[in-house]
Amino acid sequence: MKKPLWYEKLERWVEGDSPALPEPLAHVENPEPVKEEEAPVQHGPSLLRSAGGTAMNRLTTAFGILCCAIFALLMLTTVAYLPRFGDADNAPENETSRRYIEQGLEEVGATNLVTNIILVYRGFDTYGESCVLFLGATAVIMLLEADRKNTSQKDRLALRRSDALDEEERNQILGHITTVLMPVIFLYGLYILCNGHLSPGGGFAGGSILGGALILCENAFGARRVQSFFNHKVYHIIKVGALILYAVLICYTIYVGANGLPNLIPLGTPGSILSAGIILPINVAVGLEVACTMYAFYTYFGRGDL
Amino acid sequence: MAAIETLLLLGLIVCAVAANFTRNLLPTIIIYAAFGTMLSVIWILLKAPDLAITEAAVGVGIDTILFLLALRSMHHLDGTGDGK
Repeated sequence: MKKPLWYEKLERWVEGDSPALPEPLAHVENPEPVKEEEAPVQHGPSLLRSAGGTAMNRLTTAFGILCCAIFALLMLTTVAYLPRFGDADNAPENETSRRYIEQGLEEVGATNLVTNIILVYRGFDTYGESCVLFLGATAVIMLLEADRKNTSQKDRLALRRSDALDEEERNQILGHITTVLMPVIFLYGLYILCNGHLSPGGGFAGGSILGGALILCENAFGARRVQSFFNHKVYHIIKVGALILYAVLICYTIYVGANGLPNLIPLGTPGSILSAGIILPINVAVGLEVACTMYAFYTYFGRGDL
Repeated sequence: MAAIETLLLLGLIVCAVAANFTRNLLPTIIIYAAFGTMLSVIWILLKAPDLAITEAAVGVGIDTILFLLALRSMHHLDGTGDGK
């Protein structure tokens, strides 16, 4: 059965215009002259594609823009039906938001009302999001981990060779700049993480910054250096421990709140760093979870291992 | 302030449309990062700093890195036939 033209095009696009690439790990820097010999061969299909596929590409683009325009129109029509912002008689019976704003500070204790809502009043939802992150990272590891069953001896040798090459020819500029910037970035991430109940930020944003700092570290100093303090054991302990800590804290709060029992976790004075009861530990837990997940996404997509 | 806001909103529209018209995937990712940067400034102007920090860290930083990794896995980044 002959494949239709669009299917071939899609296949070639998915495979990156190079169906005859010798080994899947060729993206790492390869000093051997193999690449220069192959380049003209691979120009053929690519040029053909760009000449024959132009009309098709235009059609796809036009269709995409049409879909976006229709969707935007629908959304704008919906927005037109919303009540005007700031009207005096908007939703006068909305007691939920009034309670959040008026009593959030004394009930929960964080000066950042957004954090009050997402981590305590709506803490169960945020816990669901953390579980989604956990499951996402687990699925990525299941699919992409390079173990004995999905990698050949050749792939492993290629990876080790590229690691050795990276070790030899480390980028000096990147290394020096990272040495200067790394403490600042880590400090900034920790600041956003630990001040989530006082100022904008919180677990998710701070954790992303920490994860980005880890990724920068891996690029500048090599995976070996990061593995020395962030290996599988540390990764699993942090990831599972953070999720369990979060689950215990949120279960305790829900149990206490639903049964009208006195909450044993002190709220502290609003505005100081050790205040707001469960929010600070939850922020730290979420941040560690997010940092681990981001770094795991990066390394498993790139190397297939931590 | 209103002028800056209008400029940023126009930039958002330009970026969103331009991302469709680039022929390679690498410029699309860079345009997407520019889109996210402008969006995070707009969040600050709309007094939503929580969202601005998250947008800058996740939408611009981590997303771009993951997209670039996906391109590298597809061998689009090593110059062997990315529409050249």
